Amino acid sequence: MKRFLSLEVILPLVLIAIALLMIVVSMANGLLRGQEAITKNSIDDIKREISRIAAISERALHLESQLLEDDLTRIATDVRVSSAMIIDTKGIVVYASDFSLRGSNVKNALENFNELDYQNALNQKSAIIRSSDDGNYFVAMMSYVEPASSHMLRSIKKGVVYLSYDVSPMRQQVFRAVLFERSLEMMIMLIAAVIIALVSNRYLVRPLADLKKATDKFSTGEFNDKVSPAGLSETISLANSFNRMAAQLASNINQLQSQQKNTQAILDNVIDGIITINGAGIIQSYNKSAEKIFGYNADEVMGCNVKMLMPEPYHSEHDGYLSDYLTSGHAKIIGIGREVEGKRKNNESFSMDLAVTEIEKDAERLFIGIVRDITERKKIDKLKSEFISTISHELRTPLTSINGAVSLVLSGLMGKLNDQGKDLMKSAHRNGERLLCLINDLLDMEKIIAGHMQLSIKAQELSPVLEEALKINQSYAEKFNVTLKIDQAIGDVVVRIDQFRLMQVITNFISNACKFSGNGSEVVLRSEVLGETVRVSVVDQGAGIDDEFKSHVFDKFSQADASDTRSHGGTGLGLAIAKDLVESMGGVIGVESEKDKGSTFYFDLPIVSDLV
Amino acid sequence: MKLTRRQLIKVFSAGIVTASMPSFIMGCSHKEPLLRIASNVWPGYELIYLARKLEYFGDDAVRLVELPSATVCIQSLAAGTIEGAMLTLDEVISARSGGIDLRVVAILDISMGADVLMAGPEIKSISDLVGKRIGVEQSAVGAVMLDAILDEGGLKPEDIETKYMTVNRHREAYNAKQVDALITFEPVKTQLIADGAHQLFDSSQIPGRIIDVLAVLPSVIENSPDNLRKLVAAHFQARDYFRNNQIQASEIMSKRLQLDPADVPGSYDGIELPDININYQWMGGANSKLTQSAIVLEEIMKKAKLLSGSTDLVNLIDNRFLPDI
Repeated sequence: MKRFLSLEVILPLVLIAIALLMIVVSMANGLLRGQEAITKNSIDDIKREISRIAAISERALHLESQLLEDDLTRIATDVRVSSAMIIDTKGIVVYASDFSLRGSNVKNALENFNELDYQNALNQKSAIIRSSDDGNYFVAMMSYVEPASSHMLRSIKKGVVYLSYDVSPMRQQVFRAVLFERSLEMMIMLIAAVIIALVSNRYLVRPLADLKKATDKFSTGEFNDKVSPAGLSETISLANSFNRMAAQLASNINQLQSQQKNTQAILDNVIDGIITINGAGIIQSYNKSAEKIFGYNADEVMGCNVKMLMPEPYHSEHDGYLSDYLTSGHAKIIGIGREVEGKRKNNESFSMDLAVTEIEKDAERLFIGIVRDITERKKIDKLKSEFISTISHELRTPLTSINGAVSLVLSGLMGKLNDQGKDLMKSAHRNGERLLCLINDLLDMEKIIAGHMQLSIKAQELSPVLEEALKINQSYAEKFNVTLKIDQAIGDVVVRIDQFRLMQVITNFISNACKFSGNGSEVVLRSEVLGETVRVSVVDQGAGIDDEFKSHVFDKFSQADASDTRSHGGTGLGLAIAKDLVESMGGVIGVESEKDKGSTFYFDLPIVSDLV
Repeated sequence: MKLTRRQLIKVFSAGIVTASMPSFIMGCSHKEPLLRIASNVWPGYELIYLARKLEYFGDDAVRLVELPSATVCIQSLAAGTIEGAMLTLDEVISARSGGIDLRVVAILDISMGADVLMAGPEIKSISDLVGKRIGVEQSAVGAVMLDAILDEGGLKPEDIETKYMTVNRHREAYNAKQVDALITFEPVKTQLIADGAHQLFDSSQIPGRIIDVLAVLPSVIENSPDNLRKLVAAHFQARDYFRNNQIQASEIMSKRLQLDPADVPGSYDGIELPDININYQWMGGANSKLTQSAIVLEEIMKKAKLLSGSTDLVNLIDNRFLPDI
């Protein structure tokens, strides 16, 4: 049906419509004027003729009757004349174009004879002219005075001349002539319309159709189909533009496709599983490595909820977590990355690293999850920590005995040592202690990593703990010729802590401060309330920490300078353990430092309302 | 729906044909011009008027113009106000010699006694005509009759006084004693009998000499062939009607003939109304009977000084408009 609205149809149709309108208007005009002319001429003629015959009748009736008869009958050769009669004074038809009417009374002669008009005509001099409503018939009647006979001057007897026209054939003729003329014009217009249709088809519609065909093909991915330029300069230029556009697009698309292949190859070959989900948790993409990790084929998971890849309780919690995130923005994994549990097709749970990134694509939130199976690494880690734990225990027991023995020897209970022997024993004792310390740190670290660190947390006042810590570390500070001070401003603030472990943290801070402070400097143990939390800081006047090291200060085995370990002692584990311990107690650990201006290590703990 | 180019052309061609149909139809049925045929009153012509009354042809196809005499008919033909007329063959010849190219398309009647010499009761025989006034139409029929009458009575043209007058004045002239005898024809013949005249001579004594025909201008053959064919057919159809329904036909015809209906059949005494077959017999071939009659007539007319010089009789006859047998 749409085809009928095409240019090649509309153009000629519009042309035909316009032509028809013009023809109809000119036809109506021609008809109107033709018919008006007929009416006017008929009235003029009938008036003239009847006057003429009436005049002849007055002179010639009875005297030159042949002349009159000739004249009257000749009138009938006029195609319009339907009847012509001369009626005498007695109402008898004397002469008629129709011979059969002669001698009959005029009232019976014609079917539709108007007697009233006849009487009126008799009584007046001028002609009575009537036309029918449709304008096809004209009747004229005019009186004449009978020629006077020899014995009278003037006759008073009157007769009537009757003349009627029927112009209907003439009107039809005009109508046909006009119609015929116009139909010739119509034919010419139609031929013109066809020519225009063919021309527009050849030069406009076909080139456009070709272009459309090419466009359709293009839309289905056939980029190499060229349009041959044809028709008008506009369509040729359009076709050329299309070809150029098609070539450009084809090349771009090829580039994109090869790029996409590359990307796909990377995605397929990357070791990590890459899964994207939408805001509802539905899996949108799922790469080859993910297939290997989870055991599901892409077909099996695409369009499914991602929680199918999770064991309980994550499986049940995931929807809630996701919607919680979308409404509140509270992230657990997104943007952070964490070690979580996954579930394979065979229902086996396994550890994996999961990093989730949020992106927005077409106003839709998508989450890209990068998954790495860390089962093997976990096994190795476990073996390693078990190994370290075993070794540490095995080392600590004999070391304790060694240290005890050395202490006994040093105390002089086993007899006096000479000075050299004493120095050697002191050195052995010091290194023994240090080794023990290292082993303890290692064991703590392993406990933390393995999640076996047990804290006995209870609510208690903080101040006594701090005073106790100051006391314990006083002698250590003196060794470094450092003055240890306390700056308490917290009153009876209560916190929930494992006292022993918190002491370990503070001791670590203080020992570090003493170690890295210069001879005769001061270390302050400060406490203050900051809103809902209490901050405990150890402020020294040491060398400070480089900015670039500051962020690693709480990492395992890290010291600002590798040589530090040897010159200052320590394992590099202390701050890592401290961080873990503070966080385990719900606190936050941190450091503020400026090069050459000393450092402030601190931790904040939430204040609880009372001891319960 | 998709149109191929060929289909498109077809569709548009169909459109053209449809749209041009009105003009095509009009072209075909393009109405022929009205055919105006005139005649004076003569029983031989009356069948065509009967046909009109019986509506064998329409007023839009043929208009019969009733003129008072053959002379006026020929004048009208010359003026172009009519296209054809019912005339005697001699009038046709006379008209042709005057430059009016008339074609005979049908023979309407053959005078077999219809043309008569009527005389007052005091004139008993043709020989009594010496010194008498004879009224006659200045026509070939008059000449032919006069020629035959003089021949019959052994008279010379100068023995009589010839009064030329058209037929519509014959009765009037007789009653006004302006003439002693009249060469005339029906209906005047019957009227004159009623006025006391009697018949001395008739055309049955010169068979085939006086023939009435339907003659038309060549333009009719060109422009109104169908109307003409219709008219000729109507004449023969009316002939059949007249033969089969004489009473009704007479009633109709009496009015124009100004006769009592009972007298109508009698007015055809001496007039043979040839049928289609006889028409073909007379009008067929190059040397047809009609042509021969025309040649004889031409001679008489020349002798009577009704014609000067010879007339071209080629194309005088056209029998294509006669109905098929």
